[in-house]
Amino acid sequence: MGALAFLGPILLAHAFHVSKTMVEYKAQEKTLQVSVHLFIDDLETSLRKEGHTALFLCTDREAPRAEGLIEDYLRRHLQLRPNNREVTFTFLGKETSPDMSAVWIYLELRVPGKLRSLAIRNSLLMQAFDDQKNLVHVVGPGKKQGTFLFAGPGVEEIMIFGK
Amino acid sequence: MSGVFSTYLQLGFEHIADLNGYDHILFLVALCAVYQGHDWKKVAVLVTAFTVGHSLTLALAALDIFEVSSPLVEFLIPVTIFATSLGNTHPSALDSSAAGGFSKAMVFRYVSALFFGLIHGLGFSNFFRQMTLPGQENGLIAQLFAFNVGVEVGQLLIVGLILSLTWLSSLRISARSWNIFISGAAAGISLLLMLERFPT
Repeated sequence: MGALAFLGPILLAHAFHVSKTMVEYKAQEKTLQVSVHLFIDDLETSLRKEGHTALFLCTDREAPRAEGLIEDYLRRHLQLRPNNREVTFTFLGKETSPDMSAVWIYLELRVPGKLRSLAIRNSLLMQAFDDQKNLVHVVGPGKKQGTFLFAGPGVEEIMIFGK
Repeated sequence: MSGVFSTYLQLGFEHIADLNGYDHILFLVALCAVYQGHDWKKVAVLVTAFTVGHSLTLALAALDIFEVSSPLVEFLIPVTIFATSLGNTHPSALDSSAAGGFSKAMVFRYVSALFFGLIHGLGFSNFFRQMTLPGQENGLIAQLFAFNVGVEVGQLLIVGLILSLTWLSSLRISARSWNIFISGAAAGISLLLMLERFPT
């Protein structure tokens, strides 16, 4: 079994590392509603790499500091700039997916004025996994849609909605 | 990259061509091992059978028509690689490759490629389902189509690469040695994958 343990990292062939994020513009409330879907074990691995252990995310024993850590982690790795302005999001809450493997995290951003453009950076979980891919789907004013795939840190995508 | 089509095409392509998740590549390697560079027409038919299989289950599972537990599928994928490799050592495998056409052994290979394709398609669907978005159900067909096209493009590229290597090998070693060497290697790796993924 020793030899197999050595081969483990090479043979861990199919654990895919993906996240998805929905960003939806609500014209009446002038907000962006954001839902982020992350695998719980991947999020836990990322936070552990930053020195946060024993968080037991999304279980009965979840550490009281866990939500604050997740919020802080998202602020650092998911940046949404409506109309090219820095806006801080509100952390609305989180919800475990029906199969208990993932967590949906809900955020809200106030849009300064009418939404004309949206700049996105998403480096979620990329520090923990080389092959991490993050999908972002945007539904803007007039239901204009855009889909972006982030496969490396430091990438910024900008979606323009017009006047 | 902002279009749904290009994004899902990229996802499909990278999913099959991913060196971290090389099980689909390994299956194609095993499938091609009995052929020589000039057999590309037979390989095309065989790969098409595999494609029909995996497109079918990918579509059915992606559209939620049925669901298969993903640990079981992940375990069955190396089983298909092992079975294909083992089949490559059967005496008829080399003979039929030389004779070609629709011999009994060839038909059996087509049918098993189709059947194994069904299993790989379920594997693709487990990934694809993670990449679909709530509230976007009406765009599912377009996403699925683009993803599948990406898988096919990746597959075509991989098979082309394998056949090029096969042709290169034929300059130095016999087709029989190549087949046994490659099939043995694929069987060994798939056995380790099976042990690792054994459903508990």
